[in-house]
Amino acid sequence: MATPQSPTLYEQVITVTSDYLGPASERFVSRQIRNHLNKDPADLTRKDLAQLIRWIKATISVLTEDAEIANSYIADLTELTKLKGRTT
Amino acid sequence: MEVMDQVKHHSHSTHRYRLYMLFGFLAALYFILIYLTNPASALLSTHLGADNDRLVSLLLRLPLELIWLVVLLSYLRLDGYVNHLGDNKDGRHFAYIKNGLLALSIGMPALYVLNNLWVLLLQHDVISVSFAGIATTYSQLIVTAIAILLIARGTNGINRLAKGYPLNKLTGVLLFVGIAVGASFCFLVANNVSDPSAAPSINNVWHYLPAWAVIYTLVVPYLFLWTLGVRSIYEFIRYQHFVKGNVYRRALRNLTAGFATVIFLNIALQFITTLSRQSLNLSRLTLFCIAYIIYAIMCLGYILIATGAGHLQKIEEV
Repeated sequence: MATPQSPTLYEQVITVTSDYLGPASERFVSRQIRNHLNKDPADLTRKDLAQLIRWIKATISVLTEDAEIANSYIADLTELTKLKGRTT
Repeated sequence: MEVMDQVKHHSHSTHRYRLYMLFGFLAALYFILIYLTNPASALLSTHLGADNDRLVSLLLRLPLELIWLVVLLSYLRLDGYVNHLGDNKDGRHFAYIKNGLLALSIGMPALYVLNNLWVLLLQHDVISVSFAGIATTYSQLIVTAIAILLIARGTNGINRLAKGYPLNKLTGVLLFVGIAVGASFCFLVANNVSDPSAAPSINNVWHYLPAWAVIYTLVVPYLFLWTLGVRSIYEFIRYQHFVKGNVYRRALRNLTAGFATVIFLNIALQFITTLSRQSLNLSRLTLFCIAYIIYAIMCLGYILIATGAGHLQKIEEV
C-alpha cells in the first residue's frame, strides 16, 4: 500500500494562510511567490520561507489594520520554519 | 501568459466601454421620452403651461439617473473584483452574482425607458391601454426574474463553500417576513382584482387579464422570485458567517450588507409598483416619492457593494 505523501511546503503555507484569507489564500500565496521570489510556487523551499514571510508581513498590514491578526498570521507562518519534513 | 493577460484586459476594457455607452444611450433616451410625453401625464402640474410641466418632470427625474449611475459603477467595481477570481471555485459563483447585478443595473434604466415608450405610443394611439399595461408589468417581471435567478444561483454556490450550520434564528425571521409579505401581496391583489371601480390604466393590469392569469403568471412567479431573493440574502449572510479566513470574512461584510439591502429593497419596490395605484390609494406623485426614498436607500446598498468589492479586490491585487 502506498504511503500518502506529506503536504509540500507550499501546501503548508496555503493551509496556514487559509485561516486568514480563506478562499483567496492559494491565489495570494502563489502571487507572493511569483512576484517577490520570482519562482514557481511548487518550487518553494524552506530557505525561501524567511523572505516570503517578510513579504507577507508587509502585505498583510495593507489588508488588515488589526495588528493582532497580522501578528498571529506571521507567527503561524514562522512556526513552519521550525517544522521538520519536506523541504519543498 | 502575458499575452493572454493582455487579451483578457483588453476584452474587459471593451466590455466596460460598451456598458458606459449603453448606459449613456438609455439615459439620453429616457430624457428624450420624458420630454416628448404629453405633460398631462406629468407628475406635478405647475399650472404654468406645458413646457414648465415638462421641465419640472425632467428635473424630478434627474436624481433617478444619478442613482442608475451609482448602480452601474457599483456593478463595475464588483466586475473588477470577479475578474481577478477567474475560473476558481468561488470565482464561478461570484460571476453569477455579478451578472445578476448587471441585469439590475441595466434593467433598471431599460425598464424606465420602456415604460415611457409605452406611454408615448399610448398617447399617440399606436398601442392600446391594455397592451401598455401588460407590457409594463411583464417586462418588470422578466428583468426581476433574470436578476434574482442569477444572484440565487451564485449565492447557492458560495453557500456550499462555507462549511457550518444553518442560522436558525435568521431562518425564522426571514420565513416570517416572507410569509407576511406574501400574504399581504395576495390580499392586495385579490382586493384589486375584485374591485370593479378601479379605472383601467397602464398601471392596472388586473383589468385586462382574468383572475387566474394574474394569479399564475404574476403573483406566483413574483412570490417564487421573492422567496429566492430572501433565500439569497440568507445564503450570503451564512457564507460571510462561516467562510474560512477572518481577514476575508471582514472584507466580505460590506458586500454582504450591500446585497442584502439591494435584494430586500428591490423586493419592496416591486411589491409597491406591481400593485396598482388604486389598490394602495396613492397618487402618482406619492408613489414616485416612495420609489425615490427606496431608491436612495438602495443607493447606499450599492455603495456598500462597491466598497465591499473594493476590499476583496485588494486581497487579490497586493
